[in-house]
Amino acid sequence: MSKSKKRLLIFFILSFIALMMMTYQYKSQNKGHSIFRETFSYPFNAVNSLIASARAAFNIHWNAVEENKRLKKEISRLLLEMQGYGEMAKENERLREILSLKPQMRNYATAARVISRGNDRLLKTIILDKGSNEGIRKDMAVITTKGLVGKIYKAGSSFSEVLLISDPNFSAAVRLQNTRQEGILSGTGRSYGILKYIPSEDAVEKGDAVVTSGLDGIIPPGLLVGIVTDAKKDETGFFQDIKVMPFQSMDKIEEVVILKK
Amino acid sequence: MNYLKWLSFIFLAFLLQMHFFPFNQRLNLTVVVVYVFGLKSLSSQTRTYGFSSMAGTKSALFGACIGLIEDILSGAIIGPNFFSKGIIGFASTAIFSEVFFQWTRFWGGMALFGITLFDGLIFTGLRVLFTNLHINDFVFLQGIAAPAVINAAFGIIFRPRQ
Repeated sequence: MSKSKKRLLIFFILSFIALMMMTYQYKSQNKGHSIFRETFSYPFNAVNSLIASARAAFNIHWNAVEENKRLKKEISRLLLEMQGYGEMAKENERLREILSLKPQMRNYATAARVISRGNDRLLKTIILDKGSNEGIRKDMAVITTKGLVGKIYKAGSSFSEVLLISDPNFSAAVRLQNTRQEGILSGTGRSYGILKYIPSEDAVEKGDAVVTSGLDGIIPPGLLVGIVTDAKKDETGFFQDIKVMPFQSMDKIEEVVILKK
Repeated sequence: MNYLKWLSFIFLAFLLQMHFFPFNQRLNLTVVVVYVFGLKSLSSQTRTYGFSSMAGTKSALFGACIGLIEDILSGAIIGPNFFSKGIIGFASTAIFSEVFFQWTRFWGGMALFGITLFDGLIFTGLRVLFTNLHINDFVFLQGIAAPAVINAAFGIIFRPRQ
């Protein structure tokens, strides 16, 4: 067989197999290779887990002294604050009783450690060291102490993947904390997100906090998301162009908490 | 021994790709692995048999296997990397025997730049076509242009066997 014919044949075989596989997965909604994925990703995730543990141990040792000093200061500050919060919590409870409202529970599922960034180069994801064995399910909200991080995109048996709020495929129902105006927050691929569907006539100020509204039925309401850094009113459009900077930097996530729906 | 060397090379490439993000950019080192395999197998096959079509087939298979692993690890649709890496495997055996004819540092860098760019375009195109993926200009540039620029440096280093 001549060289050019052989080339054509290789190209044809590769195209045929790839197109067959992709068409099949497209029709079956991309199900059926999770076993392969678990098998292939296991050695990488195990090594990632080891690296994350070693890195954490190194960081703990390195920062121990300074951390200790900082924590002592923090404890004394928090003790003072706690006295105030205790009073506020009691007052809050009393007011809730008056309004016949049940105290809202944060639907804690589990806490997990970030072991690496995701392997999909077109998605902004992170890999967690816990999976469905620990109760993690698809679409559960993922937060840190600073605010919303993303939602569970894929849940394997012992590892799971989080779609970060900075990814263009991420959307969440949110509201502005002060004005209670509802909108949709979408990722942009950059460090900030875009708050959509806020009418041009509504007043939005720089520094306004954005929280989840819970109206998407996926992410619980009241979670801190970010802060408005820029709000532009389009003369011709119906909605404003609002940039939101997440409270949690997406490059500095180490531990997260997963919440049930 | 050779198998072990390549296995370690592949594992290291995947691992580095997962952990190192220079200038917050994602690496695409699997392209480099496939390209280097193509270059090396071309030389050994040419030396042994005097023709390169066998090396092409071998490299295309190698590339397709690497792409398949990458597709499986990504957790997304299987096929885009399989296809693009397979083509790259084949192309990398021909690039210095039939396109540029002679390897120089400049053409090495340019070849890997072009190959990475090609891989990114095919991968992104197929992903957008076969999944409901949203990408914007920024993600597009990050996913395609940046790895191509980084990989060009590897093109300067890796050369065919003399």
